[in-house]
Amino acid sequence: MVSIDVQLAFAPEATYRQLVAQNRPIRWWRALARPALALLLIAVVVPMMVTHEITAGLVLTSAAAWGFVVAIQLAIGAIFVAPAPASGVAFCRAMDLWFAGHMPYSLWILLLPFLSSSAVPPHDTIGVSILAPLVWTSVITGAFFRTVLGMDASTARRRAVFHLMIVVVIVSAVGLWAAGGIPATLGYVMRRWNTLWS
Amino acid sequence: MVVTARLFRSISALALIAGIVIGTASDRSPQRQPVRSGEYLILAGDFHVHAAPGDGSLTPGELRDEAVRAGIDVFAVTNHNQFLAPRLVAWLTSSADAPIVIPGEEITDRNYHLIAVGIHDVVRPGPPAARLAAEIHAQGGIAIAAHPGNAFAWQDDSALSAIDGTEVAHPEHEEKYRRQYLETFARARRVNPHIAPIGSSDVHNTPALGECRTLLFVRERSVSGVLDAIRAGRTVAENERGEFFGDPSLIERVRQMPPGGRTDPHPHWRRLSIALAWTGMAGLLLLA
Repeated sequence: MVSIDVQLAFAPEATYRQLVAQNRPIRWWRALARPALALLLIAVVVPMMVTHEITAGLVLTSAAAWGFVVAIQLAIGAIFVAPAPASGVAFCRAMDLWFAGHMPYSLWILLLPFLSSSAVPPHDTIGVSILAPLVWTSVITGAFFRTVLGMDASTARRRAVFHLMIVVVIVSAVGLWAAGGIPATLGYVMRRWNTLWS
Repeated sequence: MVVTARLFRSISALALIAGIVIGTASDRSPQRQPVRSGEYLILAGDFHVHAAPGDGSLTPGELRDEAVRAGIDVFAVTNHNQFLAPRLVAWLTSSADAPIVIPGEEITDRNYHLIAVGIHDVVRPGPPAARLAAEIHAQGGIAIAAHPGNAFAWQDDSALSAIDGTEVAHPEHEEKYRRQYLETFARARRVNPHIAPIGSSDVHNTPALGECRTLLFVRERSVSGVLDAIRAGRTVAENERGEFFGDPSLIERVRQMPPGGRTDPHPHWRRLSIALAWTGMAGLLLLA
């Protein structure tokens, strides 16, 4: 009933083992199906959240505007997959399996319209709730490195932490740029903090 | 099992496509004509709007379409300390009937947030607010104090007399901030009698464009007409509760000829399209 990606999110090790055992080679365009679905998700949910509308024009322009997010995810995946030791899984298949672990972020994006409609300011809700997919995805990437790329447990753990750091650095850098730089962001955080405790 | 998976995916994809088609077909806002009051046209504006790329979720083009739905005649794209999204404004196709989009910036410092509207290059934070206002004026723009609560330490008389407007209507959960914005406006009016009351949505990623708005008495429907109205203080700010702030004579004229607000000509179809698209997307992600 539920998709293999959902199964993978809740039982990453066992599901990755099952998928690797299928040993199914795929073409490069098939490996882009999951990233394309992630982009479609963003392109549908973001305008829905902001305008309470969904139109073909909104979906197309949002896909163009937010395509860089999926491109960054693809680049990060390629950085980890390309130099990995031979594991019997071809590059395209490994990239497909990498994106099969996208479910925590997908669920978070899917729920954004509900998260941002609460009484709490949306910046706070979104900023705090993104911690859930960040941590959840680390568990999945650890299983990916062990099972798909055939790394030992400690190397896989180090890689998963390194991946988490890369994501945090990129998200923070984009967030700081969008918020107007470090002093502006610190000012916002301090004002929010004072508001919460006054 | 494979057949069931394909069936689920097909139904989900169909629901998503149906949602988008219905949403596209029902997205028809009625054409609005500006309200005329004596020698002026009354336009509805929102001068504090965040866009993508930046910390807003919609591109300037998408925001312009949203402005039509929200009944906004003019808005400014004002991201924090950067000018990437406002540069995209120049790429928008021009249309006499479309809402006017003005490049701007929210100059964001620890001590102040200052909105610059009608500038053509980025203005860096750091100098005192009065000096920044002079920089904005040198670019032909106007300076507006953004959500000027007590948390910002810049509001001395020299700053208040140098700026062109102050946000008196801004969406807030807490009453104390609303009171602070009113107090700032009252102080500003004492040192700068022509300072314009401004209503802004500060929209980032929730449905709020035009939630608070500025009603402008313009001589012509153009960027210069809009900026002149703000410089002369010919504005009335309106908050999300429908309360007005500004000169009583202008408020009276607005009450007599109120510009329309957000329109939702097909609410049932719109809700159906959202439900179908969201459900279809969820099905594509979650079901086998």
